[in-house]
Amino acid sequence: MSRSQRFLLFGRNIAAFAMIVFAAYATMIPIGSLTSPFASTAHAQIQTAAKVGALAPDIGFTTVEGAEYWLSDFRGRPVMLWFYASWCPTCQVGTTAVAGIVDQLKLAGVQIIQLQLYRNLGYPGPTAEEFATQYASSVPRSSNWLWGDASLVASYTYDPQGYPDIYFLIDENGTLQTIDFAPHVTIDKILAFSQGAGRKG
Amino acid sequence: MNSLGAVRLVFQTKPYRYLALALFVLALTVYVFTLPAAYTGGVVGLISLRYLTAELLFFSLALASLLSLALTLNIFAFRTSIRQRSGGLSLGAALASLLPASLCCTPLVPSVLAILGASTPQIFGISGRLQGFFATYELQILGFALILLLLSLRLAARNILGACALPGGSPSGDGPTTEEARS
Repeated sequence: MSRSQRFLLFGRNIAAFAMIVFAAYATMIPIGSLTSPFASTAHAQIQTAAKVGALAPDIGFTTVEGAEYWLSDFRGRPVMLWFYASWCPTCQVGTTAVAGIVDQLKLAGVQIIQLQLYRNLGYPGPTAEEFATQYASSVPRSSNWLWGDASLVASYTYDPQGYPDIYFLIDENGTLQTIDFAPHVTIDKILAFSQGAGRKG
Repeated sequence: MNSLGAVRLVFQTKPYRYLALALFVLALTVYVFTLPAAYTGGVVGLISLRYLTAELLFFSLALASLLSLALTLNIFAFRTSIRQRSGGLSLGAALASLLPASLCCTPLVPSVLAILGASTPQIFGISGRLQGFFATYELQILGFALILLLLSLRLAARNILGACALPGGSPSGDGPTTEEARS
């Protein structure tokens, strides 16, 4: 087989593989309309063990400062529980976006708990401390935004499919209200939650 | 220089110039909206433009330019019945350039793994590694796609000039046009 023919065959194989992947992408991730900044139907396909409308599973975590908490310690206030991987571009941009609205969330009493997924989902990246310093440097460390590492149990309970960026909005009663990802794309949802729209009673 | 000669030869005909321009506009539109998808969790729309970095804009322009040229040359080769073509390489490179944006930070990888029959623990273990790789080496993969497109363009150019050159003629475009060569 000549070199040109080998290149052609190589190119066709890449084309076939890429077309399969892209076809799967096109069918699973709907393109958002030009008038709407995001496609909410894409987010409905997220699969997790935690269910909307049910009590959020209680998990323990350790903050970067070494303090230990359980999710149930925050019962009585709304919580944004956010799992991320530090190599994930969506997480980086999302953190910067949340830093921009942290004062509004603080006023509404929302507790942000941002946990790096267990071992960064198996791929190296900045630690939780380094990530917080890099992407939320404009926000002074405060009790309403806790940073930490998620255990294997916590990561697998809330994110069994290994999505690198997924957050859960939990009301004061501990009931899971919303599951979504890319906070910077769905920031309206987070603001509405903080203003009480997503919370029942 | 061979590639430029082939482009000059093909662009002697106005329809091919318009075709290249149309392909460039189409490809550029696709790239500027899809390349930032790694920053939007896979969401494609006007929001994508907000996260179009300088590097992604550079790759969008470069990939669109090379793709439009490579495809135009391949279409020319097809229409003039030149036997060896590199269209597959062009398409493969183009689609490969979209892989990092579509594979990172979207539900795609877990969904595909599930379709392939992986168990949930397996998906949990594999998904992050795959997505982390594509996220970390996104620019390198785009660079590789660029190289593939350059290669495709060069192959197409060589095939066109090789088919159009007559014995004793210059392969750089000083020789006869395609119609003269075919007659």
